[in-house]
Amino acid sequence: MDSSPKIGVFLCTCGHMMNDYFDTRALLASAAKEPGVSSVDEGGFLCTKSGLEWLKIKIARSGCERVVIAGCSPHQHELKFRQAIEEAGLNRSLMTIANLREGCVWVCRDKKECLPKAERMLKAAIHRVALAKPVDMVQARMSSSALIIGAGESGVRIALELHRLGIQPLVIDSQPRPEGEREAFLPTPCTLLGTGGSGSGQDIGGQRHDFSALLKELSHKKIELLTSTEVREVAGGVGAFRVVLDTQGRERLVEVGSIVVASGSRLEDGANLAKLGSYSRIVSLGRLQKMIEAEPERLERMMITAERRAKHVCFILGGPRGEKSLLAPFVKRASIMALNQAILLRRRFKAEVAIVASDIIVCGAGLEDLYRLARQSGVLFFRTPESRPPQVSLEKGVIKIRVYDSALADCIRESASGEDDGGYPVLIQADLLALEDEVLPSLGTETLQSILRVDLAGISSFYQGNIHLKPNLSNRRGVFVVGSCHGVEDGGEMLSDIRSVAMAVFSLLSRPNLAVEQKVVINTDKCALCLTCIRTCPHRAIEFGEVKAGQKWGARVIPQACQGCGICAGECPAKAIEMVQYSDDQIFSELTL
Amino acid sequence: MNDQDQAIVIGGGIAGVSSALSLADSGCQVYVIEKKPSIGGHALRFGCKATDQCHSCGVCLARDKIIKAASCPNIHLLTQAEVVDLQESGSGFVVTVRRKPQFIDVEKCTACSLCYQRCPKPDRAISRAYLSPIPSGYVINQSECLLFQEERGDCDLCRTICPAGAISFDQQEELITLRASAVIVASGFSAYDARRKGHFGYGRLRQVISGLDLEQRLLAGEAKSLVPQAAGDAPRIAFVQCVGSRDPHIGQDYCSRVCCKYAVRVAAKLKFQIPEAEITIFFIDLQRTEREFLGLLERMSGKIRLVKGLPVEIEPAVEGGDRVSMRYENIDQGRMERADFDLVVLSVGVAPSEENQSLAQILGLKLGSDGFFAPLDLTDSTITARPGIFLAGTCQGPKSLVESILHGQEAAMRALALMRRREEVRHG
Repeated sequence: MDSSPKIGVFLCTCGHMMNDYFDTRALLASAAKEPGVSSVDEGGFLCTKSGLEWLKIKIARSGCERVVIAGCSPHQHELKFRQAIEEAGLNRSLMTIANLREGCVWVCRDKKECLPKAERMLKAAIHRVALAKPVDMVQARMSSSALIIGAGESGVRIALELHRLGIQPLVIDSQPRPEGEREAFLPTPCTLLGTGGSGSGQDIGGQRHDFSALLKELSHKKIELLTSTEVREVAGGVGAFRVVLDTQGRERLVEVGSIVVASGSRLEDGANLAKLGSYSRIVSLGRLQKMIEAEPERLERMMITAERRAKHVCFILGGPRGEKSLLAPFVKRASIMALNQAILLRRRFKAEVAIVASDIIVCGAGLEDLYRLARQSGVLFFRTPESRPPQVSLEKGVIKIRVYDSALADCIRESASGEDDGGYPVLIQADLLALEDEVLPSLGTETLQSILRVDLAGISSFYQGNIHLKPNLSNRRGVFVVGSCHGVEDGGEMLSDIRSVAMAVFSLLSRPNLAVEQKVVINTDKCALCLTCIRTCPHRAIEFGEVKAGQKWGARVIPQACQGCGICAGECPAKAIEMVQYSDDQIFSELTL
Repeated sequence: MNDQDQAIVIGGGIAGVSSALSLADSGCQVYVIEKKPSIGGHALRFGCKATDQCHSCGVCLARDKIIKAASCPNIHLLTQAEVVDLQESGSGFVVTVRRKPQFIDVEKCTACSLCYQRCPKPDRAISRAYLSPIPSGYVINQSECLLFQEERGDCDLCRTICPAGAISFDQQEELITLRASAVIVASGFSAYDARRKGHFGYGRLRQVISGLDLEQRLLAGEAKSLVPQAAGDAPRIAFVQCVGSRDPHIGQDYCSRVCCKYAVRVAAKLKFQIPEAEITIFFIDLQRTEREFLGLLERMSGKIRLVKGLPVEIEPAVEGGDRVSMRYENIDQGRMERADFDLVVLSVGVAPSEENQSLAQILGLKLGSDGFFAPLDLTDSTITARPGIFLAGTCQGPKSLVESILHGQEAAMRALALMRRREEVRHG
């Protein structure tokens, strides 16, 4: 066994605390008998500055090539130890920590159990490190450019923010011209309250900014915008995505460091309205917003019916939602819009307004103020029990809404003693009824998702709600989501969302190179090109290409995208893939002592 | 990015940590000034809400970030410190920080716990720096320590026994001067003190606890000990929403944004651990937003009872032994009702920190009418009236954990954009 590497075992007694539990000399003596162990030593405080210096000197003097540290959990000081070992001239991966403090000393009830367990743990670590291979650090080049998919409001805004931080954005959109509308339906509560907002001067919540001014700024800053352009193919990984774009048949290859999905969403007002038959006096919130802004005369006419002088408008929030709605039901958006519109209808049109809802959504900046303002403006609120939804019927051109108001019931109960539980019936006669519209993913979202090979949070029915990818990351490193395409409901929040994604993109791409560990190696001689690894990798870190320049084709790992999960190594039928730090041999050697 | 760029983050809670990490990742040197002995803030006191599946509470996310920040070479933590002065200087600021004596040197402390075990005070003057080891090790509470008290002014047992020699009582309070191109205020919030609502009996009745108390018990794995385990009689638990939120009488006329989701998640966790428990949530308007939360509500429908209406008072039950009796308005039924409970959890609201006033004065910032730091513009809520000073997290208004992380990133983005602009001006 002369060729086997020399192993140094260093026990940290954590301030001699471990001496209380077992005989450290006996432990080290048993470790010294293991094959390959050339030196053993113990110290009190390896994690301190002086301790680390001591460790480096010991490594240099003993001439060991691999190191086992027996001490506390790797969660505590693994990085420090790896750095020290590197400074001592060894590869940083030729080290293993045996967690004797948390794994043995602190959990053994009987002190007698400590020594044998510590011996076994240390032995396993020695066997493991004997088979360790040096891991190379790879320098991955990070291109400081970003592709933004979607030229809606969120797409254009994030392009401007990224440009401000020094990242070169390229904006594409599948439509022939950019549409601000795709996100303009997200209302901002505070604009109405006069506390500012970029659309100040206007008291309509739905309008934040002149979209054409944003586009002008985009061209002024010479940010490229490609319309009628779709993504055909995405290869590579974070820092160096190679994207094939298709502009009406003409293909173009671009290389970008990061991809931001800002595909927005669209409104569907059919589902709710269809149940009542199409009747011009029943409108969706989105439609009503447009009418308030652009066609006030028409709206005025719609609210006036021959036989009734006052203009009565009723909003119903909640209510039926279609099966195909993949997004979160945009309840908050509906609540903000209805409150905004109700106040406007009171102020500008002098209409009588009622809002029927089971719960008023106020969990957002400025929303409670908006709700109060609506009440002060004379908007009536009927809070119906969820068990008894409002009933809508059409009778001779008048819309009749039957609701059960629970607050009224208390005072009327005595007179209507025979009344059933669930509130007091109220009949609202309205000339105009506004209902929630549905927010659906933009057309083409599913295609985009399959090309990008990501489970976009909130966009698709495959959404898994992985908290670690929240709020803006996707399962593919370097691909971000922003705006209403992942469920942002309120204009102010969308602006926040955009700025925080810009920060995340910048942090990722700010350095020209990223040093990453090579976590996985593929043995090309064994690889049968079955592509199983490419299909199973959840991070899209394996691709098919030239293994080395000019050599044969096969599966290759994109080191900066790899998260080291090991799924590919487990799945590979030819056993061609190996985790560098968790090889089968190492695991078996630990298990079969 | 210029390597000499320095930024100061006031507050080491999750928003501050998120700001600091974003800035540090971009090459900035960041000083985090934390009043407490360790960073992490409220986030480390919350427990995971997962049952047999994840309910996306974000607690683990916060932990990851805090641990990452503690080991980041560009982030310099100043614990037990507070800002006492801020002056403009050139294009940046000069900030004076007062740092209390640390007594235990974190560089040397190995968290062996010997000092804690041997401290002669019955309730210990030494404690783990926090629930998480960041910075690792222990802290000495000066107001508890016998050395600083008159009758036993000579105890220095911990110093003599510390095997690492990390304890020294010679340290004095120090004033540190830092230069910074940008300052991010992330001083966080205070939970509403439920004692102010005397009719709920918090502090008087053993059965009435706050949401934060419950978190601590859950974190310690004591869920089952919260309610009596008498055979035959199912434990009854109530959650009362909007305690210190949406209440103009106490000047907190806003929604705290987190409590509905919080209460339903915790209720789901309790129901999972104590399946026989009968849980009722009392609320004004249930904030049914976000896909995951709606999914959770759907799964819990029928398992927990939702009652629209808040209790009027809580008092010891006349009959029913150890329970408390609650009189409440059931709005959906349109009548007053009464019920007995073994445990009442008050979902306390997010209130502005008491120190906001003094901090605002030092920084030359304005507070809003609600007591939170007021941004210039609600849709750009990290920007203050003073260029170079930004807001992050709950010091600006109620936010969830994930929202605070985002807001921290947003403030960092604003600070970076400012530094870049200044650099461009410098270089023409």
